[in-house]
Order: sequence, then structure tokens, then C-alpha cells
Amino acid sequence: MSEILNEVRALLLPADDAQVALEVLVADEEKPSNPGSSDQPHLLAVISHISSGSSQAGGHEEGSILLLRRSPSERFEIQRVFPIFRDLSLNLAQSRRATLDLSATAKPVSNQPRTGFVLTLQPGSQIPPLVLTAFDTHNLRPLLSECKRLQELSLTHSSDQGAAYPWLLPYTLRKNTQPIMSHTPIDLRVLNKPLHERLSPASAGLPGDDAADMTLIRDHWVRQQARDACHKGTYQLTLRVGTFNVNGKPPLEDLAAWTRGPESFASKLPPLENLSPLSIGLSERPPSDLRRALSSNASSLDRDPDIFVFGFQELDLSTEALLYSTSTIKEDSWAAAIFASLGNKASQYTKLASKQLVGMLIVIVVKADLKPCFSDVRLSATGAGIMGGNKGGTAIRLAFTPPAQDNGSSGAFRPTILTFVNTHLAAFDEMVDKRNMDFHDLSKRLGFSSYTPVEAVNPPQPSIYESDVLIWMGDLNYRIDLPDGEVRSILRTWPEDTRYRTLLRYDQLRNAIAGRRAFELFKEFTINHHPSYRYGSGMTDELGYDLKRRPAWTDRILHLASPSVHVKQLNYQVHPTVTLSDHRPVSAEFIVPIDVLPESKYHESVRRLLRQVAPTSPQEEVRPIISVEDTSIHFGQIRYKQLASRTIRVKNTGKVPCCWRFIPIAPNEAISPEWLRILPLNGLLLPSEVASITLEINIETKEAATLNLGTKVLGAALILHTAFGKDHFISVGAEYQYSCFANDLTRLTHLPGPVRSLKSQDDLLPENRGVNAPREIMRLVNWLMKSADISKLLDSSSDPHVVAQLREHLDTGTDFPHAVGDVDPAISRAFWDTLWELIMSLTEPIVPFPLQARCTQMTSRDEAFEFLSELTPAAVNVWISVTAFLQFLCQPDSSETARRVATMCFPALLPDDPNPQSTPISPLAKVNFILYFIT
Amino acid sequence: MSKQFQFKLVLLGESAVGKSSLVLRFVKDQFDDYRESTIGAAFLTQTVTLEDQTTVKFEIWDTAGQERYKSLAPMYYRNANCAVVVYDITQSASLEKARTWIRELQRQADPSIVIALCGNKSDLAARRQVTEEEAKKYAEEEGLMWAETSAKTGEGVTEIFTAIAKKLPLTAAPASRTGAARPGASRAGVDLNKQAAPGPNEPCNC
Repeated sequence: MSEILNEVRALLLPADDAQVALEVLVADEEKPSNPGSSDQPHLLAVISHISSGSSQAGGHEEGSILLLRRSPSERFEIQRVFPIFRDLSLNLAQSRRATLDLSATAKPVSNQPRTGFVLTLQPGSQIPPLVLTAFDTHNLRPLLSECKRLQELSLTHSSDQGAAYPWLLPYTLRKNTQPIMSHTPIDLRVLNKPLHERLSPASAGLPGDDAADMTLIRDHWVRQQARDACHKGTYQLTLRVGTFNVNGKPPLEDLAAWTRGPESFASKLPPLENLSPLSIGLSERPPSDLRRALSSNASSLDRDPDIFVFGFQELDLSTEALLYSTSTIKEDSWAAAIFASLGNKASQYTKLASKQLVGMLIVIVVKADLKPCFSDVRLSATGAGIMGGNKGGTAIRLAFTPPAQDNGSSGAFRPTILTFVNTHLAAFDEMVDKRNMDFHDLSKRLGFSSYTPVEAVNPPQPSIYESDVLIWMGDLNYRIDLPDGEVRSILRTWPEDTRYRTLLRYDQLRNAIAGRRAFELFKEFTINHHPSYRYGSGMTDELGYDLKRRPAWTDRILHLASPSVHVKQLNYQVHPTVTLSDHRPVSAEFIVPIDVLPESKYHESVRRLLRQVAPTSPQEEVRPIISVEDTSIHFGQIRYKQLASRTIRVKNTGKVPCCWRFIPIAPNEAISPEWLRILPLNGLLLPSEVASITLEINIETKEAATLNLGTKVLGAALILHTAFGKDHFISVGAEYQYSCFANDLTRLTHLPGPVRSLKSQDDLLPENRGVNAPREIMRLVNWLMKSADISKLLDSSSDPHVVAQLREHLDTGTDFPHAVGDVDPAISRAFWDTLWELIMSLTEPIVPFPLQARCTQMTSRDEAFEFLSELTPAAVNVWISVTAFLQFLCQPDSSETARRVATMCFPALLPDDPNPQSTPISPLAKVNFILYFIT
Repeated sequence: MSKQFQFKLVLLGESAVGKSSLVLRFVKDQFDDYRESTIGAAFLTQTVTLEDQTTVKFEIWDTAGQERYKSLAPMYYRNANCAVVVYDITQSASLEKARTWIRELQRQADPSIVIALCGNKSDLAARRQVTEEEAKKYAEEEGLMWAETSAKTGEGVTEIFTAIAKKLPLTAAPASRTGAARPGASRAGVDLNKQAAPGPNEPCNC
């Protein structure tokens, strides 16, 4: 047993230990048809982890039970992981089935164990128990007492159960490595993390778990190579997805605008009784809205979609629906309405599947001739939270196999797994945390995965994330965190190009994604449409929104796809002409390129590739050897926002395939300094194969802000680690050229001359000797005042090369080559863009964050000017000169231009405090403050 | 029952004194006349069996001797149980460099680290610049182990590693695989006959 225990320890990370292990038989795997299985027992091991955080307190110990099995390669593999926490129960009973086996294949009777115990492991009420049989009574007792000890420990610090046991993640992640041939895709949340983040923690001198890393890198490589090798073309699967909260109303209206898209918007009129100018938000200007729907970044499918997916919420608001939701009458009437809306196309489509739970319904309609391509359709539904109520979700998972091609290539293709989720999350403005919780809850419970502190117990059925493409739609109920009047006013009065952008900065869903609180890694298309909620029949504002509810983008469609499936979303729209509910329906169109991979060829490739990367002679220890062509890279001079790259070539000079990865110098540090990027960060090289690794320096504002304050000479040591081999050192050097971008105003006004001539940080002017205003900003404003063609300034665009040249002239202090009087609108625009880039790169805004709240209280122009006295002289000069030019720009025209300019410029002049604890300041008030200066 | 111990060993010293050659001789009993200089760090293992059947597995980090990678060395000697600091007997400057490494180890490495000073290239005694007396005296003053070796002929190589193995505290709990000692629990060398001692009588349901 001691050797076995050491083998288990070899699988563990340094901070973890195993004290006891026990051979067991797994009851449900012991099938009568396979009498030999008892010769291959499993192993149950108890491991513990001491967190290093609080060493004085003796650390914080947690435990877990592992179920292991010997793999064909004779190594133990972790099969299941059971964290030891309060809800884990472990029961022991005398075995009733320790009878003697007299069959011919059995062991001699004398070798058969006589007394056995049945161990039942129950990791929580939601998961089926694991039943094991143990004969090794010698190790059984220590195992049970260790479990008991760890469980008691877990009770003493059970406060943070949800977040506990992160140390188990490396074991469960490895579990997540699906066999390459399997049709169950890897969890999208794992797959969308860069591979290097999934490798074991390692640094110089601490190589991590090379064996596990090699498996990950190798499997990734095999999958990619096999795909490339068998690729027989791409099938462009077209989808139209819609979500609609129908507010309990029956489908007494044509849904064509929503179900079929914008072309039907023009050709079909909605029923007359619903067409009221007040209730249709955008009916005043339908042509421009139609144009926007079809504008540059949005497009639409050029053929009828292969699949329609419709998610409904609040199909039934009656209380009985909460209790017995067996009736399909509502479902049938909505399905009928969908087909009716498809008009003469309806006959080409057929319903594939649907799933209803209370008011939530998801329906999938497919082209009838493609129906044979869909298989393995699975349904799931669950309420959200403990009480459920009318919130929750329904989901459908299906396998799509591309249709056979014309050239008669026979045999099955590899299926692609698509999952569609329709949810209704918690309502009300302030319930954003509950919505985030609902999301996580549904993520676990839809698709039948288990519910434990860590998602450790291997789910017997796939989760919604074990898909190639996941599309999540529904009334997610996320709101806009701005006062009611402000939302309405921005929607009504602001120009199209700033209206949505501004409001979206306060959108709870966008902020939850950015803060990684929910829908992490999901993608959502640009929102270029009005909020879909809440339209009223009673008191409404000019746009038709109910006065009692703040307008919001409650109805959303997001997606998450495997990195090997390049999903293209064509559009994202609201359909204001469908007016039966208090929500307006939302739709999105997608093209999903499906790789056509013949299954048998794929399997053959995988086997061939696996043979290729397997060690040639496992008996002899052959070390992987790679050579790095140039271990000393110098970039020369590098500049702000000027991409520089170098290539290093790495060759496998050994006899075996070699996995390599970059590792940081010390634990928990970055692999490279923030100004340097390495692509790729890991890979696999076959013997004598050569790889190119790109080193890239791209200094953006964040990096420049630090570099401007330091020395010009930059250096870094990179460590390229080869699994089971050497660490190679690569030194990187560069000479940074100081920039006037990414500084604060004080520093700019204390530069003795052009920033590039600064020798050291000690050469700055003494505190009381600074200039009145930064030369660089003044030079740009002066040029614009004298030379710009202001009539075309706002509507032209600049050449990035010209902007880069202007930056260089500002940094070196050399004269602009563009003569005063140069009227090329693109040149003028380049000056304009450079000015804003410079202002936005300031490390402290012109008006400091603590003072910005005061801006909102100004009620007159005089007060606004008075307020400027609180700023530093340099800030006042910058503010006055910039706004003077803006006023000049708005002069010939009307207040409409001023509003446009103010809504464009306020994020640069009065930027938001990035500190999440700060109180957000109203964008409307900021714009009004700026308007005092420019009108 | 034989006991097995595992220790982390690091090689330090000036470039071209023969650190990698020493390791190659110790691990594979081979020698290359023209080895490229190490740019990086190599990890190798070799097991030594002592007279009492105790086995000591060395996890060896062979590091680059070049000055520009000096800042990376602490990452490799961190948590090392023993260090072999190598100089070249035909280059007196290399002993000076070895002294610098030893001072650094004494200041920054684990205080219980066992340090061996090793004069390599003893086959080139004709070109000797460092006398045995000088090196030995320094080693005694600093409480270091000392030996001369030749990676080329193999002279003294196994001996110095075996001597280190004997000097290591085989009674204490040695470091774990990556050298990160775990508080309160010994990982290797557990006596399994004692381990199975049952606790007080407990009901079988936990």
C-alpha cells in the first residue's frame, strides 16, 4: 500500500498530501458480463490541502476524497473528486455479497476475500450516490477517521462554502480533458480560457506538473491537427434566434417582423389597431431606422435560416401555471403563430423540439429537408433559486451533422453540438445580484450537472457548456443604472452615434460581464437598438415607454462558442412593430461555420497523431531537447503605440516530441513584463520541427504611463520551459522613447523642452517654474484654430499613419509638416483625433475626479466659469483653449451641432472614475456642463 | 524496509568551469569534449544508494553560469537542500567567483543548506592555478565540503555526490518533490507499519 500511496502523491500538487488509500470495487461498473473487472480495482484516496495564506494560524486545512483507476498506461488517473464538506455523507455497511466465486475465470477460492464492506458516498442530496465495496479492512478505519477529521474541520470554517476548495480545480480540470474522440465537447468555459492558463502553476525552478501539461498541450495539438487534416469543407449553418417576453398575452398579432426579419418589416404592415404613434417608439422615422438596421456593421442572412430558435417568457401569468404546467395549449398556439408568420415559407419548415416550464418556452423550428441532420436532441428545464417561482430556464441541446455532399462522399460526419438556453431571470432594477445568482444557478442546474461547492463530481450527463456553440437568450431583466429621466432624455435627444454607447456604459449586464460576475466569456453583438422594455398602454413618454418603469435592454441574446467555431453574428435588433406585449421582441441572426469532418477519417488521424507524439521507446528515458536560435533579442528604439515585433525560432533537436511553455520567473508573477507579448505561449514540436515564436512590443497608454516615469532602458528575462527538459533563458532588451502621451498635466508643464530630449527624470523644471499650459496640447489647438476645415471636421476620418506622425512631431518638438492653410479634411481630422487621443491619455483628467460631481450642480454659464477657479492654472488653460475651439466649431451651425460635439467629447473631457466604488456622475449633467462653454 | 529520500541540489559557478559536464558524468557517466554553454537551467535526477541501503534521489538543477542570467539563479537555489559550487582549478578567477556564490548562498539560501566546493578539471593539473591547499583552507574556514573532480576522467565525481548524500540530514523530514516543505506533515519516508494505527473506537457512519 505504501507504494500505491506514493503513486497517488506523485499525482498531487506540492501543497497537497495523501495520507491513506484504499482499494475498492465500484458497484455499478461491475457487470456480470465482465467478470474480470474485479481484477482491476479502483482506489479511494483521502487527500488534504493546507492553504499557505495564514501561516501563524497554522494554515487552513481542507480535504477531498479521490476515486482513481489505473489507466492502460499503468498510471493512476483521477476519475472523480468529492470535496469533503458538510453535505458529504459516507456510510458503511457489511457486505452481503461476499460469496465465493467458483466460476472458471475466478481467482482460486483461497485468494478470494471473505469479508467485505459496502461504502456509500453521497456528495449532496442532488447527486446519485457512489457505491463501493472494500475488502481491505486494514486501511478502512484510517480512511474513515481521516474523512471524519477533515469533515469536522470543514464545519469550523464553512462560511465561504461556495468559493471554497479552489485548490481542487487542477484535479477537476484535468478531469475535464475529454477523450479526443468523444462527441462530448470540452466545457466552453475551460476551452475559452487560453491554454497557458489551464497549465499547472510553474515558475523558474518549480516545473509544475509536466505530465499533466504535456497531456493538455498534446491533446490540444492533436485536436487541431486532426481537424486540419480531415477538413472536407465548411457547412454554413444559418440561424435566426429570437426572444420575446409576451406578458401573458395570446398571439393575436402577426409576428413576421420578428420571426422573418427586416425585409418583412417593409412589406408587411402590422395589424392596424396596434399602430399608434405613441406606442411605437420609432414610428416617426421608420426610413432612418430601417437604414440603421441595414447599416455597415449589421447585415442580414441572404437566404432563409436553417434553424429558427424562439425563446418565450411569461407565456402564462396565471397562478395555476405555477402549480401545474402540464397544459400545452399556450405552447401550441405560439407554435402556430410562428408558422403563420412564416407565410408561404412555412411549408418548408418543421418543428424539431420544444420545452416549456411555467411561462418559459423554447421552440426550435428547422428546415424540413435538414431534419435528418439533427440528432441526439435533449431537453432540460429548471426553476431558478430555491423557490423557483416563474423564473428559471429551459434548454435544448442537439447534434448537427452536416448533410452529405454532392460528390457522394460517404460515411458519417462528425457532429457539432449546439445548445440553446432560454431563461427568465429575477426582475426589478435593484435585483442585479439575484440575476447574477440565477445565472450561476441555471448554469449548474440546466443540463443536469451536479450541485456541489465545486463542480467536481463528474456530471453523468453533459452540462450546457459541453457544447460547440451555446446561445443564451431570454428576458435576463438587466437594467440601466441611471436615473429614469436621464435614460429617457438620452434616448430621446442624443444623436444616434452616442446614445446607445453612453447608456450601455451603465447597462447592468455589460458591467456584470466586465466584472466577471455573470456571463463571463459570453459575447454580445453591438446594441444599436432602443431598449425592448417597457412599453405601456397607459401613461407613456414620447417614445412609448411606460412612465412607471425605467426603459431597459431586458431582452438579450448572447453566445459562447468553441475557439474552433468562428460564429458570425449578422445583426441584433428589436422589433418595435410587434406591440402585443409590454416588451418588444428581439432577434439575432448567426452564421455558424460547421467543419465537415468525416468521422472515420478523423478517428484515423487522431490515432495516427497520437502514435506520432507518443514517446518512441518508453523504456529508455529520452530527454526532449530543443534549441533556441537566438537567446538575446534587442528591439532597438520603441515608441508609444508603434507595434514592434521580433521572431525567435525554436527547433526540436532531440529524438522525441517536445512540449514547451513559457513560465514566469517567480510563482504568481507574469510570464513577461506588461509591455511585452509572446505568441504563442506554448506548443508542441515534433523531432526536427521548427516553430516561430513572436515577441511583440505594443506600448499603450497604461504601459506608457509607467514607462514615462522610469528609465529608457528596458530588459526582461523570459524562461522557455520544456516538459521534462531544460529551462531556456531568452533575454529581451529595448530602448523606450519617452512620449508626451500618458502623462499628467503637471508633468507636461514641467518638461524643460520636447519630451524626447529629456535625459533623466531629474531634468524636470522646478515646481514653481512650470509653463502655463502643456505645449503639446496648445500646439494642436492652435493648428486646429488656424487651419482646420471645420465644416467637414466631424464627418471625415483620419489616416492612422498621419496621426502617428503627429505624435512623433509632438514628442520631438519638430514642426508639423502641414502648412497653415492646408485644408485637406483628412489632415484636419488627424489633428482633431490626435488632440483627443492626447487628452484621453492623460493619467489624471483635466477636472480631477473628486471635483467632477460639482460640475453637475452648475446652473448657469457664470457658475460654470466660476467653477474653473478650483482647477490648477494648467488645467484651466487647457479647458479654456479646448472648449474655445469647440465653440468655434459649433459657431456657424445650431445647438444641434453643439449637442453632438458635447456628447462626443464628454467621455474625454470628463471621464468616468475607473474606481468601482465611486459614485457615477450623470452623463447628462456632464454634457450640460460642457454646453455652457461651447454655446 | 529500505528508506528513500529526495533532495534538491543546485550547481552554481562561473561559466565554462564544467558544471554541466559534472552532471552528465554523474547522471549518465558520459563526457562530451565540446559542450555548448548552458543558456538556461536543466533538470535531471540521479539516485545514490548508501551502504545501509538507504537511497537518496537527487533532483539536480544545472544552471547557466553566465553573468547576465545571475538574477535568475535565486529562483533555482530557492529551497535547495544542497549546492555544489564549482570552480576550474586552471582558472584562479573562477575560485573568486565561487566565493561570491558561496557568500550569496550563505546569505540568501535556506540556512540548513549543505554546500560543497568542487574544483573541477583535475585532469589538467599541469595548468593548475588554484592549489589544493588554498581551496581546502577556504572550505574549512567556511565549513564547506571540498573535493577536486574531473568530469572528463570521472575522478571524484560519484564520490562527491555520495559524500553529500551522507551529510544530508537523513533523519529529518526531507523536502518534498518540488522542495516546498509542508508544515506539520512529512511526505516521503513515512513508516507505513506505524501509520495504520487505528483511532479510538468510532461508529462507522461519518
